[in-house]
Amino acid sequence: MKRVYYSGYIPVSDDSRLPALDSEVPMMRENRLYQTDWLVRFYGFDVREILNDHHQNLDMDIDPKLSWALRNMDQFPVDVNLAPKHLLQRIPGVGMKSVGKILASRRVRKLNWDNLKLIGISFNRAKYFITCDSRQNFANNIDPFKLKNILLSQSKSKYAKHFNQQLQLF
Amino acid sequence: MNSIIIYDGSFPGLFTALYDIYLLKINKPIIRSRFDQNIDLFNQEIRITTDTEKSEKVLAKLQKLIGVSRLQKLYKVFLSEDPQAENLIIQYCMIAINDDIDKLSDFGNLVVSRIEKIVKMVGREPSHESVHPFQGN
Repeated sequence: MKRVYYSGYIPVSDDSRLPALDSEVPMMRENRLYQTDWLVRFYGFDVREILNDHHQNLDMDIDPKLSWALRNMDQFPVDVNLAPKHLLQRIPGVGMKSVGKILASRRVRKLNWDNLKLIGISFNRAKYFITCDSRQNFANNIDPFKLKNILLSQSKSKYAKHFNQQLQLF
Repeated sequence: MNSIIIYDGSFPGLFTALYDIYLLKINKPIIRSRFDQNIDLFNQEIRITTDTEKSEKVLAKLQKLIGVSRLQKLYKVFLSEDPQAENLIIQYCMIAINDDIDKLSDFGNLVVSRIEKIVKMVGREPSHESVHPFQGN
């Protein structure tokens, strides 16, 4: 089996045992499942690293890769000029294309922040997990909870309206 | 003072310009198409006459140096109508010729990353899918 497709539950019947007809399709859940699937298939993650006894559910407000990184801050910062491929793949904000570009580019030059921005990493997120050939350093043992708040305040997800799991009255 | 190279806006014309840049030993060329109306009083203008013999020489050399796939990328950039396209192509070729071919895989380089970006932009337009630099024009 090459890949799996996910779909949030779409209400179809007015049977009282099923969610009501006007309940919203859980888009966020669908999105998080795909993200996790990608991490397992392409980024070298094991399912047990993303979900285990200590962390039984995927987060609604942050993606699973960032969530893993915040739980494993001892793995960071990663030096982009030296780290092996499997560690680069685990940096939040660095995708597989960027990993390939970093690997190709660092054979030619030492990468600094400007180079990394040109490569196209998601700088605002990745900078807290990286060291590179520059004196400027963003990764100074920030507390994971603080870091999560910083990242959440900076970013605006298109799914933000689905974050609130509480039922709304109006 | 920079030298402004004016070429006729064709793909062979651009590579004739590259040939002449090396012939005339111009250090920091600025390439312009002859359709570009901006007049620059403070720089020296050099008009290039398109010569297929020269351009074919350059293309053959480049093909050996950087390979067909990168040459196809350059052709896509040429078709992109990006205002900086000509200059990027010339700078890209000059990196390959003067420095090292390895530098063309340095995505931290402004020229290389810009070229890649434009190639991606052009690639989204399906009509350009099967472009080939030697069949085009």
